[in-house]
Amino acid sequence: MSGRKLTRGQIVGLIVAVVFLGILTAGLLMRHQGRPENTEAPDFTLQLYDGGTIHLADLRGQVVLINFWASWCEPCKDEARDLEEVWRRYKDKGVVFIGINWSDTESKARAYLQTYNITYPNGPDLGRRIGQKYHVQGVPETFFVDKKGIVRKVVIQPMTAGQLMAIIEPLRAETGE
Amino acid sequence: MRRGPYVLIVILAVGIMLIMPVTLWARTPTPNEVEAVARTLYCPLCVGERLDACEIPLCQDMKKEIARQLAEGRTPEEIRAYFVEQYGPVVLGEPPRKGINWLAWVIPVIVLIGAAAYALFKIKEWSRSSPEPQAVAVVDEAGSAEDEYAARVERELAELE
Repeated sequence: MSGRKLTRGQIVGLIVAVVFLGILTAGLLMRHQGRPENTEAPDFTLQLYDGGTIHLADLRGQVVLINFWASWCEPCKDEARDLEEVWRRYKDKGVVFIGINWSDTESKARAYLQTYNITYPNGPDLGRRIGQKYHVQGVPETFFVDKKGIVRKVVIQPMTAGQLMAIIEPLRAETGE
Repeated sequence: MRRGPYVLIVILAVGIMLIMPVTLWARTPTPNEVEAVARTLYCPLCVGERLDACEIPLCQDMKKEIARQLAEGRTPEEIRAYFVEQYGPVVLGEPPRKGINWLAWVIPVIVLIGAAAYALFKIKEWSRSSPEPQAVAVVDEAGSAEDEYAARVERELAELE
C-alpha cells in the first residue's frame, strides 16, 4: 500500500484533534469519579447559622453524619424529623450530625430549621464548595463518616430513623484506631 | 378654646398619610426591576436557564431574595455578588472552572491560537509562491523586443550599404 504523505496543515489538524480528544476523555473520567465512598472524607469548614464554625478534621474519633439538604426539597422534609430524633438520641454518644444547606436561600433555610425544630449544627454551603468536594448532585444526600475519617456509606434518598440507626450503630461500635 | 394643638395634630396626621405611601412605594421594587436583575442571573440547578424564565422553587426564592435586597437599597451589582458568594460563578452563566468544564475556557483560546498560526502560515506560503511582479516581465519583454528591433534595423542598414 503506497503511503500518502500528509501536508503540514493536516498534521497540525491531527495533533489538535488528538489533544482535544485527550482533554475530553480526561474531563469525562474526572466527572465520573463520583461521590467519595470508602475513601477519606473531604475536609471542610462550615460557617454555622448560629454563628460558630465546624471543622470536619476536628471530629476524628467520632462518627459523623453529613446531610445535604434544601428547604425547597420535598424528600428532605420527609426525613427532617427523623434526623432530629436520631441526633437527640446519639448526640452525647460520640456521634455528630452536620446539616449542610445546599443551593438554597438563607431566609428559607432558617425558617425550615425552625419549622422542623432542628438543633444539630447547620450552615450554608457557600459557593457550593463542599457539595463539589462530595460530588453532590441533588438533595437529600447523606454521608456517614467513621471514626477514622473515612466515608463508609452514602445514601441518596430520604432516610427513616430506623435506617439511620442501622448505619450509625455499627460505626459507633468500631474502635477508632 | 385653643385650636393650635389640634391644627398641628391634623397637619401632622395628613403629612404622615401623604408621605407614608410614597415611602413604602419607593422601597418596594417593581416586578420589572426584579426581572431586570433576574435576567442577568442563571438558575444554579438548571442547565443554562436564566433566572427570569425559571419557575422551580429555588428560582422563585431567589427572585424573592432579589426583591428583598432591592428593597433594602442594594444595587444589582451587590445582589449579583451576593448570589455568586452563595452559589458560585454558575449563577453568572459561566461554566464552573472545574473538571470537564475547563474545556469551555480552554477550547476558544486553543482555537484562536491555532487559527492565528494557520493564517500566518498561509500568508507566508502565499508570499513565497507568488509570481515575479508583472511590471518586470513587461520591462524585460519590452527590452528584448527593442533589442530585436534595433538588431533588425542594423541588419537592414547593413544590407542597404
